[in-house]
Amino acid sequence: MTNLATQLQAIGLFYRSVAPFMLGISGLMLLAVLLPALREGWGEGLLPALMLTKLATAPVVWYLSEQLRPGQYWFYFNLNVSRRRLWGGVVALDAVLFLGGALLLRAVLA
Amino acid sequence: MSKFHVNQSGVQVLEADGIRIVFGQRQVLASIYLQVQTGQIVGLLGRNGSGKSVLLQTIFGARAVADASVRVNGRRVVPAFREPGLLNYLPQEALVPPSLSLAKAARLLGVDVDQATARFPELRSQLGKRVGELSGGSARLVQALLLLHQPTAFSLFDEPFSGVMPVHVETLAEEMQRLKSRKGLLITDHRYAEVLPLCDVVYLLHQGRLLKLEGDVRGQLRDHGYLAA
Repeated sequence: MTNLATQLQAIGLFYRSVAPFMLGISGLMLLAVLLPALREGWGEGLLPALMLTKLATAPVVWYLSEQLRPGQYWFYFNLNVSRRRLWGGVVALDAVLFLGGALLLRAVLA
Repeated sequence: MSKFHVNQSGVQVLEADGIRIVFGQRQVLASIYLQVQTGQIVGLLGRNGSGKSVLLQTIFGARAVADASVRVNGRRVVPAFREPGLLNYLPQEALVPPSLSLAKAARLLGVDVDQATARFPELRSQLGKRVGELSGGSARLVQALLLLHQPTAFSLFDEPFSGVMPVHVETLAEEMQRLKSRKGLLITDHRYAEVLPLCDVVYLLHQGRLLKLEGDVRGQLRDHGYLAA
């Protein structure tokens, strides 16, 4: 249980390091695509496509992160967390935040 | 503490072999065998570019190498870093994210930070600081202390003394001696004058091969070109 809590905290900490990229992309997609579409009344069916597009940007963020900060994993390895688990957690967390933002936007404009 | 099954003498044995690494045309490591036991400090020396860091990273599991075998008490553990309580690794570069405070880093690593810094009173006032706010030497010292005190059976340290001021090097070396009673340490560092007196076993990485030095260690280091003749 302690180990799981530590791993979740590690994923949260790692997410903070990539948040400028990931939240920036989310904000751009929500404000530049979903918001105008909802205002013009054709945004209802757009969310699945936006979510897929959002997920497709994760490899780009991964690549940039690997290039810019190749030594970023050592602390997490010392917490027994692998690259795969870190990125899996980050992508899942980011998808949840993106979905939450999209649903919030839709609710506000409804 | 480590969950690893200990043998009858209470000693845990970390072994690594079958490690072969080639960069381009150059064979960096060839058929390495290395052993570290709890209660031992093992020194790993070698010239720049001889593959010391690569070897430590391979044992740690951060670098995937086909045919590499890392075992603890005979049980294969690859990648080793995924096994809670088994081992940790201090890289040459920064370990802790610069935005993280020392206290938070210690908490995540499961370290009692008061105990870890007990012999370094000047560090106590800096525990609330972020690692990125510390001087290079202090950051290095703190990171070494955190991993030294983390409850793992083994610690792999890549240049732990680098950038640390002499008075702290002595105390850090004493801490290593004290804590080896409960873990095994594998250290590589060019400060051989500080490292050699600490070590129970010394290996020299020379032309891709790992040589276990016994007897006149300094003489052998000179013979292999690690020390000036």
